[in-house]
Amino acid sequence: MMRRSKWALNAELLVLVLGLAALSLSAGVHWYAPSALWTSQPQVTSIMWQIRLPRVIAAAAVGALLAFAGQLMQGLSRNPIADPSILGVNAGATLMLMLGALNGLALTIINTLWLSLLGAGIAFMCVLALAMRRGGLDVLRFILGGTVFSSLITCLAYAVGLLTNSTAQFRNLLVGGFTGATASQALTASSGVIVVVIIALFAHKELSLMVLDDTTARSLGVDPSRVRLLAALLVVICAGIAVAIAGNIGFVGLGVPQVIAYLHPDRFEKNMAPTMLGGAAFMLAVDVLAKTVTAPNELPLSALSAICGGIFLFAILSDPRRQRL
Amino acid sequence: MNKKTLIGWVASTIVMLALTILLLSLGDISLSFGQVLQALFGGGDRIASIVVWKMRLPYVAAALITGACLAASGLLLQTLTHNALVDSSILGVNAGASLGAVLLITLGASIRGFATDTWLPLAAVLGACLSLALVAGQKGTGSRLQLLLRGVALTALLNGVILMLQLNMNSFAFDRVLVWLSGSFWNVDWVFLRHYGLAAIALIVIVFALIRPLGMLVLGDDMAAASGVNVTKLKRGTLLLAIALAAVAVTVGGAISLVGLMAPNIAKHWCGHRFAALLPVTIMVGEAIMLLATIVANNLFLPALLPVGLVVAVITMPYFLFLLFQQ
Repeated sequence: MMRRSKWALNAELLVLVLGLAALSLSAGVHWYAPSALWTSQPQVTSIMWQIRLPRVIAAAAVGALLAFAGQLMQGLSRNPIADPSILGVNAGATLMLMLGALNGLALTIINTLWLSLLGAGIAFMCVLALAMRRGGLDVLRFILGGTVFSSLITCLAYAVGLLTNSTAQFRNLLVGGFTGATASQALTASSGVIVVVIIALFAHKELSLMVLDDTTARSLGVDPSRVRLLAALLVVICAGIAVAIAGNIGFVGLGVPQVIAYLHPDRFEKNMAPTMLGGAAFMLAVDVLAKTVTAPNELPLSALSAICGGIFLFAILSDPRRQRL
Repeated sequence: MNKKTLIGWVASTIVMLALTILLLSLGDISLSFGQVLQALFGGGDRIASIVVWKMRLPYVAAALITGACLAASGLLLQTLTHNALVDSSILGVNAGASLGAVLLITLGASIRGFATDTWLPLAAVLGACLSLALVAGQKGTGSRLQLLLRGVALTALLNGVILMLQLNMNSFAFDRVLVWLSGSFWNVDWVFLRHYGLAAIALIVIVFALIRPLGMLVLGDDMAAASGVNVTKLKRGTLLLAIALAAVAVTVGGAISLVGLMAPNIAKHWCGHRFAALLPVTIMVGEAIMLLATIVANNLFLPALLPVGLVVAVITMPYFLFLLFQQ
């Protein structure tokens, strides 16, 4: 693979994101050109500004957050098969949101945020506790235990929904999607991206040392357990915000970081920006598919991304060059 | 036969029977054990016998069929792969069978006069075969972890397709989606159950007929070959049996998870690794798990009924995590 310069790759991805955003703005039950944002028909402008634009922004931001979470987790576990949805973080946030809503909390933006952050945090701690051994992280336990833990939590969420007769109410949460994205959600998601980017910029040195083994990291003057804690916190923030906005969408964090690493094999911190852009592009593309393929119905977004992610994961696992796992 | 094995057999049979009677007596109309037994043997009052025969016995039958099939299939797969963390749901076989069934039902709904029920088992078997071929059929990628993970990946992929097909048919049909994602007894009609009950019995009889060569296989391929078993043929046949058993279970109860993993591992605690002793106990334990889950699903949250698969998941998945943690 020809090695591209970092800036060229970033620029290409940015153009891709903008192009997909424009496409997503125009796609829907009725197609409008993006210039309809400034048209004189009030009905059309209100659709564009109040329905489509928030949805585009939310999708791009959530995609960026999930992809970054995946990259962090893959660095953290030093193995290519890690993603917040595979390891139960998304499911934990979903369950906590449902439990909160059923206990009478109004799902305002603030409540949604702290509930899903709490759920994501608890779930991630459980998975880490399951996977930790004296010698460090056990990959078999981390992935296999994480996936089973994740489906257990998802089953619990379904059970809670069925028992309280509220699956219709939580449909968007359970199957994921940006159908009802509001301006305040878009604002929250994009401020989430900004916060995460700022933290990542401040900590990029430490994060890039995460992929080294503990002794080397220590000899470079970095405390490996502190770095891991930081990365775990970032994962929880990213996944928590993503679930709060878009429900349980999986597998975005799995493929995107690896495609980027293939296109541009470089150090962890140099790949952070392309990964986030790639995640945004992927999410926008999937969202366009979800709303156009069977219009006026919408496809469940989590199913679409699970299909893409499942194919990708299967391909990695069947690649004979990756015997060592 | 040693004492521990005997205790295992007796204990698992007693647990199974006790759970059956419990399932028959609990519910909206609660019956005493005496009434249940009377109704079963033809006596007793009319209401009790209607409740037992028409309303509750089908659930018992469905639980017994799925439990026995999944447990036997899990034991066969574990024997073939020499891996205690394997069963039809982990390897993606259940999801494949589920997708086969869902596709057939979706297509059948759009063709008038299509006999969906007739072709359902075939679709499930085809789906199961395809998914197992994808997961296990790759050359040179034999690592244990990779096999399991490929199964997990395929399950995620197929579940995505199922979710999409089902939700697109009706956006709020979560109950139906869950049948094929996590399992539920979706058809408790006697005629339907009778066919699959017979199929299950036939398959399990074949497994029992293969006890001796399979017992040799447990000791390793070389030992089996040395004792005059055609290993390649036996393995292929066993694999097909395991797939067929899983497919029967899925057509009756949807993609129920990890029963085939839990039952053999519990049975091993009681009666060691000897296949002949293990097989009956494994089947009994599988049936007991399914009966217990059915009791919980049908009674604990009245008036709401849970899909049985969700209860099974809550029972079996923590057990899997525990096994993984012990390794």
